[in-house]
Amino acid sequence: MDALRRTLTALVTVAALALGWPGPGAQAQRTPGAGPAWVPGEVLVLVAPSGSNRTLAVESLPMVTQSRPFARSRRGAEYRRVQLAPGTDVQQAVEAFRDDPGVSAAAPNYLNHFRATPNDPHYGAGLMWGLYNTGQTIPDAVYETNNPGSAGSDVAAPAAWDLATGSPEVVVAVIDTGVDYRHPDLAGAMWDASAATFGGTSAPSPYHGYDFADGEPDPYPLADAHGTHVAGTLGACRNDGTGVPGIAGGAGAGCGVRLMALKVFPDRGGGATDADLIAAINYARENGAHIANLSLGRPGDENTVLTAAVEDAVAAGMLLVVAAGNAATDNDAVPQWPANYAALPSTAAGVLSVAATDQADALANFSNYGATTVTLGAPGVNIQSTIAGREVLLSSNDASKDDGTYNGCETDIATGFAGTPFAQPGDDCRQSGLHRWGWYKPPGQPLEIWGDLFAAAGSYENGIYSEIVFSGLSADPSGAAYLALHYTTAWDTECAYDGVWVDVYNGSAYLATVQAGELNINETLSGLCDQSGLTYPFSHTGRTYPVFGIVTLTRDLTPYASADLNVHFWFWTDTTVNSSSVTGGFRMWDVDITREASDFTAAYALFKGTSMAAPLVAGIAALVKSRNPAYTGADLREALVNSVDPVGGLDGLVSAGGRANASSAVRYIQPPGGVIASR
Amino acid sequence: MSTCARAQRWPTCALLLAAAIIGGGCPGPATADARLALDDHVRGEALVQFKPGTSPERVQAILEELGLARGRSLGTPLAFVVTFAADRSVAEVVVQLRALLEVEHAEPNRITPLPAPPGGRQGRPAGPR
Repeated sequence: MDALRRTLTALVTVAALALGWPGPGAQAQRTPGAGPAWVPGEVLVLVAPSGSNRTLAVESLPMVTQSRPFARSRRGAEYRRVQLAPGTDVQQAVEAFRDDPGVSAAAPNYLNHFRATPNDPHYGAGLMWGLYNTGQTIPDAVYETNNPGSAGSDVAAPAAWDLATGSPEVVVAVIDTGVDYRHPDLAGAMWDASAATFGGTSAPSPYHGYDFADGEPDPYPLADAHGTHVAGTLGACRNDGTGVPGIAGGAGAGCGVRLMALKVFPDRGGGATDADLIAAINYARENGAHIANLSLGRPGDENTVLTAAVEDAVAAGMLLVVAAGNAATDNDAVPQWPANYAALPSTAAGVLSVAATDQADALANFSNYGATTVTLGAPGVNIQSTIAGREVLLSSNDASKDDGTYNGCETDIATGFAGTPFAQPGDDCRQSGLHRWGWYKPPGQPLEIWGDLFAAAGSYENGIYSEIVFSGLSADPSGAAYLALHYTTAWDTECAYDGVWVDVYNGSAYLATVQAGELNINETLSGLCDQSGLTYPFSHTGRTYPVFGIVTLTRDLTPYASADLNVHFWFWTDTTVNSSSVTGGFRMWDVDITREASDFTAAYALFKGTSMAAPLVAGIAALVKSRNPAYTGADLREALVNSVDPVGGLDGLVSAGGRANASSAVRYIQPPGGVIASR
Repeated sequence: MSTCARAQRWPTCALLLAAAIIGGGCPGPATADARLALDDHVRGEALVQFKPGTSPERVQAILEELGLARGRSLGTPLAFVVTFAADRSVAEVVVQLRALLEVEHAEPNRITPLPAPPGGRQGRPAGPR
């Protein structure tokens, strides 16, 4: 049946395009914000062979003033151009024709226009193969297979843009790591949250969404560019002479669809909880989002509270577009959530699960798949899009951002050590007895910070507040917007006894701990205090540490921005040996202090993942919604599913059997309400 | 400068810090921040959705009976986070809630990891060349 629908739709669409209608001077009817639509007062009809050469019942209605055949198919079906009485609603007339048993298909007489190339420079440079694939090679690729690929292995965005570029009336929620709403390519596309509500209570915000993970209104991403990349693929302002065109980024002035930024991953590290995911979905529904993109997921058990939220969203007419996952596994066998809501009977009507394809329409080697649970594919490798604009003030990995003014062991070994790094990790920088502490930075290598204890019995010392001062900001951070500290750490310390603390010092006074209550590694990562959490050994001067975990953390330094800002890492130990393990220590690396960039020219990057494929599909759905404002999420899903390009690389791997095609989707003919016009 | 920060700054204040931690006045190692626990669910939390028509009084009585506290809203009536001691079994709390006629759904507060780039890397900032 799907194949039949696609065939009939294609027939009328192809006829409308190939025959060059309308004539010169025709006036286009427009749908709000969607650009040109169709010739007013005309309908194109495909009459079944059995109905050819006779008047259809519907043609006897007063709304029809003239019906003329203009072509015939090889199988004898007849194409007719129908003139409607003045004032007749074209869409209602189309539905009336579809109800006539003698009609195989009916459609408005869509207008087609000169195919303008957007002036976004990354599009002009050929980086946007997912939108328009000419067989180009993507430089600095993050996925090398099938690079270059094959021309036409794309979502056919240029042909779709002839009909729709994205209406500001359409709202798409980006449920992710946050969105850099100050990015010049996104700022004009952000949703206005000034009248937002949550749980029936007024929740206005100047920040275009909400940060559920950190419990604050501002969804700006201090830690991760993922959500900003997703947002750009969807709705970066198109044809604005800047960066990239989002697939639903509009025609120029005013951008296109509106992006609602809902942050569910906390800046300080860790994952998104189901509670925050549920709250974000409910917020999106309550505030009128038409589509939600969820480039996230986990294996495991279904959460019935989450299911209820998804059911409510679907019932409210939303479409949820979900990344299938990057584990190269079969979602039919290993369910992924929320992706598998695309196959759950109570939610499937409004959920799409998206696999990633490469530049030759093959399934990407990392992409999950599922003959019944994954719906369709979309380009998901080497996807160029926006990232958060961050300027590095100081980096342990970049000598140009590292002025070498660290003060190792400053309190007790200052005369012998300050300003001199370990020549090698085993060098002694002890405060007293068996405690040592310092930083390690051989020439040409990144800086690492070590806190280390010998493994002698009874060696722990009481209350040792040794410190490393990580200072030397190469630029004055005073007034810096969104100043942030990032670091990655591994540790082996005694739970509830030893810890690492981080605080902020301005040269004369300690301003505050960065975020009270979250500074001690053991405290912050209490779930890893269990020895069963040992995951990964690392070696240090001949000794191997068990590691409770490795995690990257982020702290907001904005409130402490000053010209003399220093960051201190403290290693705190107790008096006695409190466990059988007397070794202890930690390591920190990838230490960066960043702030918002003043220049966003470099705030673009190539990413890969089903996370990148999903927003292309969500963007196509937004185009269809822009063109057909009455469509529900179920209608949008039907349009997406029934307009795919069948590709061999997805055969048997996704339920729709193909890769999304924006051009076909916006031309897909279907009355709103989920009723399919096919016979 | 806070007492805690001062205590950190000067080793001689170690006892002061220790006392403060024991007394709960400063953040200390024994305090859990379960959100960052790399488990598959948050400790000390569960999600509950009561059936429509359940009165606020009955909801409150159930929470008190089970030793639970009402946490943040999930954005719909009668659906919210419940909190309890971090060392209490989440599974047992969920089972207790599910056994009640008034409860529509009860689940652990599971955690979805940050989307990891396939193959471990994404691209660095780049534009047209």
